[in-house]
Amino acid sequence: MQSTINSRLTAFLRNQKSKRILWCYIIAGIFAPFIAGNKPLLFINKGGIHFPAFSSSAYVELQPEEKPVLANSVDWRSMNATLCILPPVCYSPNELDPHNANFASPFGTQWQQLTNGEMAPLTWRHRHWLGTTRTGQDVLSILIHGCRTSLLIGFGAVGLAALIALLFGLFAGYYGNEKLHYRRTNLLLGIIIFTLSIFYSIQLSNAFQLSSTSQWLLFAFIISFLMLLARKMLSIFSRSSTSKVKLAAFPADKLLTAITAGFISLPRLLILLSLAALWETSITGLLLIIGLTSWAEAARVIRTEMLRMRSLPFMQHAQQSGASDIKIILHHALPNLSATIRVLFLTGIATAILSEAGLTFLGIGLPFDTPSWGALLFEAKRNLQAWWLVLFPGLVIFTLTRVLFTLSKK
Amino acid sequence: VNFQKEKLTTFISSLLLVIVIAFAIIHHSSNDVAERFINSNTNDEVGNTDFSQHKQQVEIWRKKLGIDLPIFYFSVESLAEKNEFNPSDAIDLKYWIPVIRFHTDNQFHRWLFGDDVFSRGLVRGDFGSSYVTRQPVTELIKGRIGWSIGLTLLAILLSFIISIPLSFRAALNSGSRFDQLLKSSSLLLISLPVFWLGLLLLLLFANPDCLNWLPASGVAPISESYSGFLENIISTIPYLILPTLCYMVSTMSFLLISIRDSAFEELQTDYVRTALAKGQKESTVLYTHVFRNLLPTLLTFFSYAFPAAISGSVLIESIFGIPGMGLTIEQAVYGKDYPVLSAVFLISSLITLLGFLITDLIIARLDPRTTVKISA
Repeated sequence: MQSTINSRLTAFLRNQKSKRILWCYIIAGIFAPFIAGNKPLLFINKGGIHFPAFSSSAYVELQPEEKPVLANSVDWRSMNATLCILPPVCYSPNELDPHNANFASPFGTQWQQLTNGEMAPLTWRHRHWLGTTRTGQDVLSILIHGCRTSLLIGFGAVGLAALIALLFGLFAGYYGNEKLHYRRTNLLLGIIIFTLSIFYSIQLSNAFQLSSTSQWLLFAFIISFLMLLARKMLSIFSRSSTSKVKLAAFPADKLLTAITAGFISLPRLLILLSLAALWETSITGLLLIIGLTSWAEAARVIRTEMLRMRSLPFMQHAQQSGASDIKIILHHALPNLSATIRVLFLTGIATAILSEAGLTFLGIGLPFDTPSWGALLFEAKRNLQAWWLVLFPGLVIFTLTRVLFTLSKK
Repeated sequence: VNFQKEKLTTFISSLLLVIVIAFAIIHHSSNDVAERFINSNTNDEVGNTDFSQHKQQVEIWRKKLGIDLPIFYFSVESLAEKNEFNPSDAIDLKYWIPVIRFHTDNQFHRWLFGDDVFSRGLVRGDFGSSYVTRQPVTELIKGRIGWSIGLTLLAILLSFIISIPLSFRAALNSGSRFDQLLKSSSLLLISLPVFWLGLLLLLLFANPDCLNWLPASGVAPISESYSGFLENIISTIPYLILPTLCYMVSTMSFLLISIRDSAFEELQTDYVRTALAKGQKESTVLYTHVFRNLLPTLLTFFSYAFPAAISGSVLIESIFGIPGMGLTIEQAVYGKDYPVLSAVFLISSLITLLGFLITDLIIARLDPRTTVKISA
């Protein structure tokens, strides 16, 4: 008894620690420009009080009668000011420090140029705490801004994947192979409507020289119009012959199992690589690619849970009392799946972040002006003598994934 | 028979899907391919290619590569047959009438079965030629596939050999300190990024400033003389230690905990209790009774470890410079070399699909109950 209480307590404490670390990451991601950046948070001079880091415009008006200056090109450190509060890490990720280029070590002397042209060691306030890259970018700043990139991709991709997985998993698990019926004619009609709407949206947008987004809008409009039309026609038509409607069972479960089996049996990184080679990769592109390829396992788990739950008394009671299918799925089944979804969500974020970092590590993922952890490791691959490029980004990724996996284990 | 049939149909349908995806990859950018072929062909005489000649060459290459053909066996087009669109055509009623056209000679057909002139087709093992090196893709891959598969299999087997005794022991003494250690270390391994581990290993063991024990990249020492089969193998071993370690970490993270859980479940059964009560040695019970009953499960784990290992091979081969499929695909992605990309994708998918099929069939032979469970 004592031992179980003890182990539960330690598990709880470990969880609290993990949660705290995760919140640190999230806060670092959200407030990245204010934690690491070259614009001061507060700048007071004769012209008044300025908040350059919080303003969205690139120019700052320092003196009322002078021209506004470009915030990124100003050397704020040597400015005349009564008060100048820089962010804790006073470099932005894409800022190049020419005096500390070519891999300045975190423990070595780092240099700065004084106003009289002499070189002097950097003061502790302006040090590159975790060293620099070849071009003189600050590693710590990249790590902090990389939080934002990674979490954006992690949460976005998993949000997308969870949506698809929930949709398919709940659908297949609830309806199974026999419960859902459809008319064969409807299937045929659906295929015809689909091809027709693709055809007409292409032809129309060719004729009127429309952009691709309006082509998609046109497609959606035409398909909904045709479907409404077909429904109206069918209702008129079937009124005369309701007796001889042939119904076939829709094998939702079999279909989902086959699709997910295909997804799981293919090596994931290869699919990601091929897609990344075909598409233009940016944060949104990578988010879509990872999200669209990682829903299969989650869908399978949700489907199994739903299948198990379908035979439980409370579900059958809900069905017998006449609740609609959608209400049963959303109101009765979904809350009971929350624990499973939480686990899937956390592990999903961890794997998404790992795959993003892996792709960028290969030099195929994010473009290089986007600050990311994988890009640092990519640079480290060619320059192993700069050990800080290997150690710190890897440690950051490792800690985050470790925390996420620990939280998912409860 | 029913079970085998079902497995075969899923295999074939997945294979068809993979073939379609591979075709989509290869024909994603077929418009600028002809341009690429010309650009690299006339590299040595830049400047004296006039425009008419250029256009002619584009036509020739388009014909040779079959880009001017329709893509698939059938297509939905408008009744008015026009390649170039004029705004005045839209007034024509024919423009708005869709028709289905069938094509016997199309790009997909040529890619699959060859055109008897330029290519021999996928079914006869011709993946086309690389856009970058002009080499046939088959030759390019032939020399490299061995390294990938060999290393992957070696690492998976080694990790099975290591993790089976460890997880059996943990399952036997569940809740003990050893069990806790195994659980936490598996959690540690699963969150360890493979690429980071590879770099760390390089930094530690292949670094002149730290421990210069092992070579950093490649698979063999650079030497001209061929010195016997056995000596060649021995000289390669130090090159393979670090990559194999990396592979093993990525597979063992998942093996340790899964084998432990399934062995723990098996240990709760009646026959184990009886055997232990009779006074059988624990090791005998584990390795003769439990192991035999766990074989199907272990095989399933094997089939799941395989795609993961192939995914990892891209990263690991890129770090350690192993001339395998992973390095090939990385270079292909850099050079936008779509034939190589689609060929590697096709081959590795085929290997994993075959692995799944074979393990399923073996499991059906080992444990006939599974076939009943599926068909019921």
